Amino acid sequence: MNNAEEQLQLIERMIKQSQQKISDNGQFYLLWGWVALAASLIHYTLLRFTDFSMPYLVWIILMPLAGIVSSIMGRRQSKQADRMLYSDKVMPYLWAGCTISMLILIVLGYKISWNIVYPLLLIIWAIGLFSSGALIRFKPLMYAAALNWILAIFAFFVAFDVQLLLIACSMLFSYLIPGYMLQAQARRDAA
Amino acid sequence: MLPNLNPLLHNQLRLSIVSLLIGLEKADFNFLLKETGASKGNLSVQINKLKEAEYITVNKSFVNNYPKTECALSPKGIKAFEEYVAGIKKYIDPS
Repeated sequence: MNNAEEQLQLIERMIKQSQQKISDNGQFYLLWGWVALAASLIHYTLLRFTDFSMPYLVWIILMPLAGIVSSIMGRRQSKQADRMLYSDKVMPYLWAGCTISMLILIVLGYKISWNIVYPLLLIIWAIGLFSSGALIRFKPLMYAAALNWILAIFAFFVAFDVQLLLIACSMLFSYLIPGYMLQAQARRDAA
Repeated sequence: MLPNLNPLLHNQLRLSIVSLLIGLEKADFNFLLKETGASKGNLSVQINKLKEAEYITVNKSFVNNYPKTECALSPKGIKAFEEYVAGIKKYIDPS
């Protein structure tokens, strides 16, 4: 058998191999990003340019659909994955926690004011993005979180319809751009 | 030769398997096969030895009609690995 240094080198090499390549391919960011971008723009359009009395219905229809698709994708991904990192295990809990917090805010939003609910949603999104970025060591998600916090501060001072545009802006820069970057990275790693 | 080191881990392939699993929640047989470069037969034998020593747990299932074998390090395995690394470090730097 080898000497001690060679054994230690073998251990180091194997640990590095197990950790290399980010396992996230960005698909969840792309799914939620596109759905929420569409929902916020549709809500804005209905609110500003029509007299439809329940424009918020678009969220109630689209979000649960995205939730179902997301959980199917997650289950399939975990079945097909050749390994599970600690971050893979924690991530679903982090986002489930964020989702539960957001649902409470949405359901009980009438108790406070809708003008406060949307900025708070942006803040919760930021927590999810910031922690995810740290977990998978992907800085763009952390910058996205910072942007979300800034948008949330702005959102406290603007009218409800403008808040919808801020959410659309958040989806573009905080979800879709990092999502496509992750997808490109995953494709490079797979090549 | 390095005496006083756990003989179960003092084997190139078994040490590779445990080192790969130490940073992961679990890993697929094919992943271990690819990363260690071992043959299927040899890898199976060494996985079984680690399983018998209760260093790893092995979970067999079917995904889309294909068998899937997943391995994960047990607390006993983690402890053995940590002791092994500490032992090796003593050989390199006895102070």
